[in-house]
Amino acid sequence: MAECDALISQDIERNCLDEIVGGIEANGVIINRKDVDFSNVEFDETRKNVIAQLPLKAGKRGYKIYVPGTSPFNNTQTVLEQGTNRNTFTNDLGFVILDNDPDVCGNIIDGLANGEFVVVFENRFKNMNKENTPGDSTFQIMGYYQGLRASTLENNKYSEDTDGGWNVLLQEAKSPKSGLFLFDTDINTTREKFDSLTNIPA
Amino acid sequence: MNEMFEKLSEMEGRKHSLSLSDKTYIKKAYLQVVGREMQKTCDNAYRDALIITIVQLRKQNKAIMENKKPCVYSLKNGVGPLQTPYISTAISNSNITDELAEAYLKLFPSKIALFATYPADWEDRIKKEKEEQSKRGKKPAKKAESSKEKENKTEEVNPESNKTEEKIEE
Repeated sequence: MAECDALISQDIERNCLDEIVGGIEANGVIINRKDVDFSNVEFDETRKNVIAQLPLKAGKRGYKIYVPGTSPFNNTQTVLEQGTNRNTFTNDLGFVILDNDPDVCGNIIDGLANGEFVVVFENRFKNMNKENTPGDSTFQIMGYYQGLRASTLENNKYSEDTDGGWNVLLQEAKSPKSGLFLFDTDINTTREKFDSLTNIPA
Repeated sequence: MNEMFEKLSEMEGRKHSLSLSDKTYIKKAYLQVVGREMQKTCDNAYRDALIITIVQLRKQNKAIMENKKPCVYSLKNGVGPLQTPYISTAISNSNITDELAEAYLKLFPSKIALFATYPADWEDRIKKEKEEQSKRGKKPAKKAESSKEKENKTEEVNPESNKTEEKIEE
């Protein structure tokens, strides 16, 4: 048992080196949470909100999410959730699937309905001018602690947003951390890790 | 593989006018050879995939020609490049060889958990390599001694050799 400190340890100010920009890139990776090799996940040695190594179990892979349009992963956000003893965070992650056929329903939607997932997405804000660890804002992880579960799965045939495809909203409740990032050494090394999540296992 | 290589090489000649069936074939070939699905992010995606697949096939053919054994080690997905200052190249699934993997595991045996496939006798292989290396380590010492002896002999024969060394130092 320990008395955990709830303290801040950095000035709150504007990032003048690299102005923040909103939004998410069109590419992401969704992983069945049970396929994450949690016993070999490595956190950064000094920063608790950074994962340096996110291995999947042998023979397992993640799946690409490609969301075209001007606002990919719309409705993605993190908000505080007040609790009795401590406050936590709720992560929402939204995307559209511009497709609808028996394979999409069988291989994706039915799985999304009841599964738990981890998603890694790429922020538009990379923070490349940061002094010590440039690029560490690039890849963000949701669903690591509690798993993302479907809160909305809808197929409106006349929807302007999905053109008759699927609207998906996944939610992770009671995450202890406000943000979790994937970063190791530099952006190129991290991107290689990100890309390798979807490799077809040998 | 040869048949695939020939067909893709033929497509390379007319890569600016690929048919729908060509594109389907490229997509399948890319998945088979490169090991991941191609990204269809722009109009050039199929041309890029075609070239990448051909280059990869050339490399594989070269490895077969040189009688290289296929690597028995592979990293788990998401692990990405393994880096250490003691090995000059970062190890990933695209460049992994038995030698590289074993050199890394010799330094960090606990990291076997990051490997998806590895031989059952990986520990024995590393031990063997360590033993061989220690043997090799002894030999150069002998060589060094013998070279010193030679140097001494040459000094005796050619006393001006010291002068040239001094000049270099200056």
